[in-house]
Amino acid sequence: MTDLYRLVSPEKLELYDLKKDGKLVFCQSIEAANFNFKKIRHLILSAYFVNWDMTRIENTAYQPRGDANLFASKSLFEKENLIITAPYLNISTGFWAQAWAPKDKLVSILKNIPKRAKIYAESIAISANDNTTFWQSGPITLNNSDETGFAARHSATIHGKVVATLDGFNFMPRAAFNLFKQKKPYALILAGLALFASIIFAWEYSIKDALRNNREPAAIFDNRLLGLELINTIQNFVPNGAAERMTFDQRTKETHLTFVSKTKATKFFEIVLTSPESTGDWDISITDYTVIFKERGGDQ
Amino acid sequence: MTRIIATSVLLLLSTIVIMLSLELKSWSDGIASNDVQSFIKVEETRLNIGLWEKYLGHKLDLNLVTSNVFEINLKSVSDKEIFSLLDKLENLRYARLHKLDIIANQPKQMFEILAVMTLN
Repeated sequence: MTDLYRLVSPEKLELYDLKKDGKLVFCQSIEAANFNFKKIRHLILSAYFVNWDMTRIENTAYQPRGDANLFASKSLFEKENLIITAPYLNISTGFWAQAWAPKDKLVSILKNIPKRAKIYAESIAISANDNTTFWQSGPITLNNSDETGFAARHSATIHGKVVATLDGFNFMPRAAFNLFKQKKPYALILAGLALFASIIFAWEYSIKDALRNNREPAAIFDNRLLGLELINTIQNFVPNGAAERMTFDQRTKETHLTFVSKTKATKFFEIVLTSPESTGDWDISITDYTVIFKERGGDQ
Repeated sequence: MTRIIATSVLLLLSTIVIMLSLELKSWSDGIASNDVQSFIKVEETRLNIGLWEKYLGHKLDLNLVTSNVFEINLKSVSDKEIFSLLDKLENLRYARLHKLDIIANQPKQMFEILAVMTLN
């Protein structure tokens, strides 16, 4: 059992039970103003809301786009203010039908209807059991048309009975309205791309370096010259102009003091040897012109 | 409505991301500018003679021994400058000082400093 609603007028709503074979069974009339449209899954709009037309197109290969408005010239509304169904072809008659409705009129009434609800035009989706049955759809009287395969407006005086409900009628889910036509989300896509681009920019511009600096901080070296304090201590033993070169080798922990002559080097070597308190942490040796101080415990 | 909100949120997020990135860069640059040795950390500037001269405050020659080992040669260093230069060389943080030679030029009363260093 499927609930199918029929909006007859802004005030009147009808509930039908839609059988599996498409038959409609009238259940009740409802006051539309007090009804929660969120419950609706299937809705038929009467001719009060919808206009429609049919045309036969000889070219059987003709296949209009889903959003084509076949009867644009007959509509008083601007395209932007119109909701249309997709063109529907009745294969047995070769007639195309399409319904349209003013957007303002519908949206105000159906503002709460779920977006997934299917909305149909009565004139296209409903058929009576025979052509002699007339029914009232809003202000218009309809009956089946064998020629078109859709409902036709009947303006002549009717002598027979005109039924008010669709009880016993057949429903065919033809050409639903696209009430909530989704515009392509170009702005959203562009905004997404902008976010993506900004993330790439941020990564390349600053985050990459900041992260690298954080994860792999630059190594900090201790470059204190081990022999500089020693030189300050022993410089008084070096006569003016006697030394010509000083070398601090951090790898071997050696300090070399090279003199201008071997004599001066030897004399200096003997002096510092006799002052062990000043060079207590150093092993001292001499090679030609050079006196070598090697820190005790340093590399051999 | 949802789309408008989502689009606005995405644009807002983009703006925030860009502003944070600019702020982070500015903050990083601020830290680097306070560190006179920061040029040694950057691969593109670590062997820039001008920046080394600016740091040491003396003209120099820079010779690349290998891709990672280089030698700095400071000529005509006066006895007044020598302690300041030794101090700066001792305080190098991002390059390892392996060997330092101080060679006296007796006639000119000047010194020459040769420093062999490696980079991280």
